[in-house]
This record gives sequence, C-alpha cells and structure tokens, in this order.
Amino acid sequence: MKRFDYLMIGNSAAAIGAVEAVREAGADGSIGIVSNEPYHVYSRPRISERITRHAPVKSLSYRPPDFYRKHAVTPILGVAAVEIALKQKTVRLENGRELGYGKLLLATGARPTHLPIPGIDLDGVHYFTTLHQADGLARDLANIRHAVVIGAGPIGIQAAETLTRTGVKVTVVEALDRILALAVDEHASSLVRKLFQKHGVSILTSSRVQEIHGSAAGRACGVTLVDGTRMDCEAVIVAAGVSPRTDLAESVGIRVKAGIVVDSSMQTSEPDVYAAGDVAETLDLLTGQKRLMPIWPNAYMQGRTAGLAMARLRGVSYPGSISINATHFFEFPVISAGCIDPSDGCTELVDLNKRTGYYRRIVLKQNVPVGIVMAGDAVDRAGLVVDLIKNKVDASAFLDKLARPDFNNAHLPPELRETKRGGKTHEGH
Amino acid sequence: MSFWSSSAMRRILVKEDVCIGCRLCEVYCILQHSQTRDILKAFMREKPKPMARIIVEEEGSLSFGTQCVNCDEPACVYACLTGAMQRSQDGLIQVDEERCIGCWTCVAVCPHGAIQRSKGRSPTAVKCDMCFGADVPACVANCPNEALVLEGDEAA
Repeated sequence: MKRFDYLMIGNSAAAIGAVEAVREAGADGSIGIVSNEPYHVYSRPRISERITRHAPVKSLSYRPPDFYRKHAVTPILGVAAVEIALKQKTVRLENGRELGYGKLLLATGARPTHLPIPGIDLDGVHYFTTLHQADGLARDLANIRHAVVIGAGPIGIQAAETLTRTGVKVTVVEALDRILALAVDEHASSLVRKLFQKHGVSILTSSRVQEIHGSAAGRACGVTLVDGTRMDCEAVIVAAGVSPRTDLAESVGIRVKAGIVVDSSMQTSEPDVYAAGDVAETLDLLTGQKRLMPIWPNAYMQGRTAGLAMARLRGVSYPGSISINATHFFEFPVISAGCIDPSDGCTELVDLNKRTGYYRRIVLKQNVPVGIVMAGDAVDRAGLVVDLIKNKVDASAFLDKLARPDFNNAHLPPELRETKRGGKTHEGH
Repeated sequence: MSFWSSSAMRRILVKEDVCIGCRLCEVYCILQHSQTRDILKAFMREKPKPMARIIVEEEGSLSFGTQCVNCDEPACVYACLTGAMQRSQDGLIQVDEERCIGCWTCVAVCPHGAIQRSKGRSPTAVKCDMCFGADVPACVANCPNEALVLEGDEAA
C-alpha cells in the first residue's frame, strides 16, 4: 500500500494552497493528491471559456504544467475517495485501491445544491460549477435557443452571461427580491440587473421554478413558475447555491455543522485530519461567527493555513476571512467585501454617478470600515479600504479623505503607511 | 525546499520626505513600458497609451510614489482566481496576461492599491515588474532626488 506523508483529497484552490504551503514550510515528505476530476488543476471561474471560445483545457490551468513534478506531488486523478479509516490512517478509492496517510486534508469542495422539483433529472438540465459540467453544456449548445437559469447568485449570473454571449436567449429566475443578493448591495444589484437587461437577459425576481417539463424524448422543454407562468425552453441551468461535500467526513464521525468544523489551524475534530475550502466552515473576521464562505480566495487561504499546520509549523493560526466578491459583468467591474448589509449603528459614505455607473460605498461601524461595494471606475484602489477592514483600522482621523473618490495612501496616517511599506503585510499566520 | 528567496528580492524603497512630486518616475515608467521607447511617440501616438506602474500619490505638500512592494505574503497571489498572479523564483510577483481574466480580485486585496486595470476590450491586471530584471528600474534611475532607491543601496 502506498503511503503519503500528506494526502490531499481534492484538487482545487484549497488543496493547491496546502501543497504550496507544505513545501514553503520546508517539509519534504511525500504528497499525494486524489481527485474525482481527471484534469490537471484548473481555474474553476474560467470554465465559461470552454463555451464562449472553446478554450483548450490546458489553457485553463491554475498552475503551470510542471506544478506536480516541481512540488513532488503524486497526482491520482479521475478516481474518487470513498472511505476513510481513521484508526488505520488509510483512504479507500472507488477503484478499490487503498492509500495510507500521515496527515489528511479534506478539500472536497461543494456541489450544486439539489433542487427537489419535478423534472430535475431530465436531459437538458445542466449545472455550471465544474469543467465537466461546462463541457456538457457546450455539447448541448446547438440544441438551445432559450435557457432558463435557476438562481441569480454569482454562478447563475455567470452562466447567464456565458450563454448570452453565445447567442442563447436567457431567462433568470431568482427566489429572492434581487439578483446577487448575498454578494452585492441593492444599488449594485440594480446596476447589474439593468446591464443584463440591456444585453437581452430576462430577469424574474421573487419567483421560483415549480416544475421542469419533459418532452416525449425525456428532454427539458419548458418550466412552470410558482405563479403559474409557463415558458418553453430547451435547457435549464440549476445554480441555486452550493452545499459542502461533507459525506466522507460525516461517515466517520468527523464533526460537521454547516460545513466541517475546524479550529484556527484547520484541524477537524479528528487529529491529523484537516479540512479547508468550500467544505469547511470559515471564521468570519467581522462577526467572529463560523459560517460557510464558498469563495476561491478563502479556499486558498484556508488550504495554505492547513498546509503550514500539517507541516508542523507551530503557532499557525488563521484569523478568519472577510467575504470578497470581485468580478465583471459584461466588462463592468464590481467589487464587494465585508459587511454590505449594515445593522444599526453603522454609518455610510456613498458616492455615485448615474451616467457612468460609478458607485463607491463604504460601510463603517464606529468609524471602522466594515464593508465596501464599488462599481465602475470606483473599484480602483479598493484594496486600500479592504486592508482597513481586515486590520480593523479606526478611520476617524481621515474620514473626510476616505469619502473622497481619490482616496489614496497619502491620506493615511504616517504610521500606517510605514507599517505597510517593506512588504511585511500580514496575511494572517 | 524553498521556492523563492526573500533575500534575493530587491525592493524599491520610497523616501517620502525627499519626494518633490515631479512625477518623472511615472514618465520613465511609461517610457520603459512603451512599444517604441520613444518619449514623444509613447505619450502622443501609442494606442493604447502605455501605463505607469508607479503612481505618485499626493496630499498637500506630501508626495511619494506607490508601486508593488512584492509582499512577503502576497494577498494578490493567494487570492488570484486563475493563477495569473504568480511569484517567480527571484521573488518578483508577475501577471501572466494570458491567464488574467480581469476579475479584479487582486485589486480588491492589494493593501497598497498598487494593481491597476489595463484599458481596452479584455483588460488585465497591470503592476510594477521591476523593469524585467534591469539592474536599476527606470523609476529609480531617473528620480532626481533619490526619493526612490533600491533596497541595499540606501547609503549610495
């Protein structure tokens, strides 16, 4: 039986973060990566390019082709891990093979949340979170004139933009009263909504798909909404959120709440078993609460923390994350971070230009920035404010300057500038 | 096993007390990153106009240049969704424009505000590249008041 000092289950941001950290920490033990996906590690946010420009899989790589070799990693790809034996410290794969481990990382990610509606298993019902799923949609494209996207979160909205770019007519159906409700605030949501409408996308909010209809051939051919509206379509893309893939952990009694429960070094309730990424809970830096935060940068940082801890670096501790969403919609940039739904006692600095879409909003709690939403050219230098949020800097002394569109380093107190220079900025270990 | 050496990384130090805000660093950075390397053509004719990777920031009598400091723990590299932002073996953080999708996650996490957006149809992240292995970066070489110096050369 092959045994690895470090065995990672999963081959995306969290697992790669862990591998890089193990090697950076100077540990030279053997590393194995097991993934049910058969590809060299790829950038999930780029799967849309398989559809819009038939991008070769190779071009979507998250790390160079020699990554595994350079980091002395044995990739075991295209085969799922199905069982853990904690006592024996082994993992069984679906092909029956067994692998031993010294330290195990569960970086199994999340899967699209199952939608319990009639017709969900029909042909022509697609998902949009993996390269394989994007390829399935790409192959089906010739059959699709009108597609219904269920869910207007970041994934659903990206699917809608992707399909629109290929000439497919798209209707987005969202249960909440606005699109991107968890990612951006009301104003930015309405900016993006108008932009999509301008590109011909129909958006229905406060609505739900009740049923997907099938043709005689067993293919999705229409949907009925809860209000009884019926519309024809040739495809349905389900993007109603994601759920952590905790099955492996749960089956052996590793503690799971919203996701796998981890301590500040990403260790699970089981010694030598770590978890990171979309499958694990995240400490929200602003609220001090554990919750799911399934975003790429957070997955990498958790993986990195786990890797450092697995390599036995002492005192590894992750202070927590703030949620950061940055993207562009039809080339229009939007960045949000931290708390965007202010509670009582919060103040706001808002600047906007209706003509250009420029929007700059900073939320503060007792003069400490806690959240931003920026759109259009306002996104430039967003990181300056995100840094204030991360470090919980009291901005009382430069509040008037923080409000300005040209807010920059020269507006910061000298001691803050000095701390930042020299590149010793701490990412929290 | 170490993948980059912090000691090999040379940083540009900023001395704000002697910066006179002349913006020559921006001018020479633009020239350095132009196609023609001709100051008139770079400024008047090239499209898109080359961008300065250093930005002079000012408030009242205070001024200084801000550019990437190649952080020891680079938030932009950790957060990059595509792997376009990477640290090379000599410690320099570089953008692979082929892999950059312009999502601006790096812009959102750079504590210095030192990453900019290129203009045009498929914009990508733009940052200081230390003039690609030049002995002395153009901004440092052309700063008339030694407000920009290479780390290790402070006394010079």
